Amino acid sequence: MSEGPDDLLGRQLSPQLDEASASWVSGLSCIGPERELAVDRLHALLLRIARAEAARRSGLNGITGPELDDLAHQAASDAAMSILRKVHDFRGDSKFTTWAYKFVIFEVANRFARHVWRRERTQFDEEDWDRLPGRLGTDPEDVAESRALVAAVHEAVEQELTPHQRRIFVAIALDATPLDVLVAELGSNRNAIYKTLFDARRKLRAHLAAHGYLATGSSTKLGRHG
Amino acid sequence: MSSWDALESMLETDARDAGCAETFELIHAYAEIVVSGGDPEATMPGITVHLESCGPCAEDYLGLLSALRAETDSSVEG
Repeated sequence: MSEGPDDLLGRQLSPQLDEASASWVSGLSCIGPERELAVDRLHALLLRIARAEAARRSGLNGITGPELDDLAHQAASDAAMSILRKVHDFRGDSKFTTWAYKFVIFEVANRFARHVWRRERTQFDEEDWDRLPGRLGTDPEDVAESRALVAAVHEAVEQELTPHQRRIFVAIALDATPLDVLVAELGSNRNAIYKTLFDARRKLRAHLAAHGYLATGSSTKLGRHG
Repeated sequence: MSSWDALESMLETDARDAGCAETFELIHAYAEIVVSGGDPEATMPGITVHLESCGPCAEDYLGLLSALRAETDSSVEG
């Protein structure tokens, strides 16, 4: 993965803040009644966005009613705390409100993931390799191909992955555990889990290519069964 | 798609992938460019790659776009 942000847009820019954004930063950075007003205004804004985002996601997660509104309140409060801690990091490469929205949307995602994890308590350590063809959408009638594929991937996992990489790969690839739910279970963060999965996928692909199951290039397949 | 093709797709990685942390750092700027009709891929290709690969970050991005578009709609209506 890209390690440095210098090729990206954001921090190379140092635009002047628009008037509304400057007002937000000023209000949240001062002390006294003006700050209290700005914090109240921020919280109201975040709660509105949190409710909309929670409603948008509710169909995916089966959370409704007061529980959904409670989740939105918690996300708004957590996001407000993050924003107050980081307000001086705001660089003005968007409107202040857009920058603030991402924090509350991220918190809503976290809250949903924790809710799913508490509700389902998924067993992440179970390894049922026969699930892999189904996860890939394989035709169940093609038994020979499925067996070959499972054997090849299982061998690659055994030989290439660290125990931590294996645990993450199995949870996501075999058990279909949502990444954010795994983050909640392991008390980790999204970037760390994604990076672990990224490295695992890269190592597995290299192993399978070296053993003739996948192409050494980007698309052409080689002798898979030989 | 054969199962091997599907496996290839599952294991595919792109070295330009910005990762979740970098994407979070820049997603607000990225989303505003999109909503204003611009193309952020030229300046932030790693974010585009990441959003195509990371489901949770892509869902957050959709939420951000939804918030920005609702904001635009309400200002037009108001």
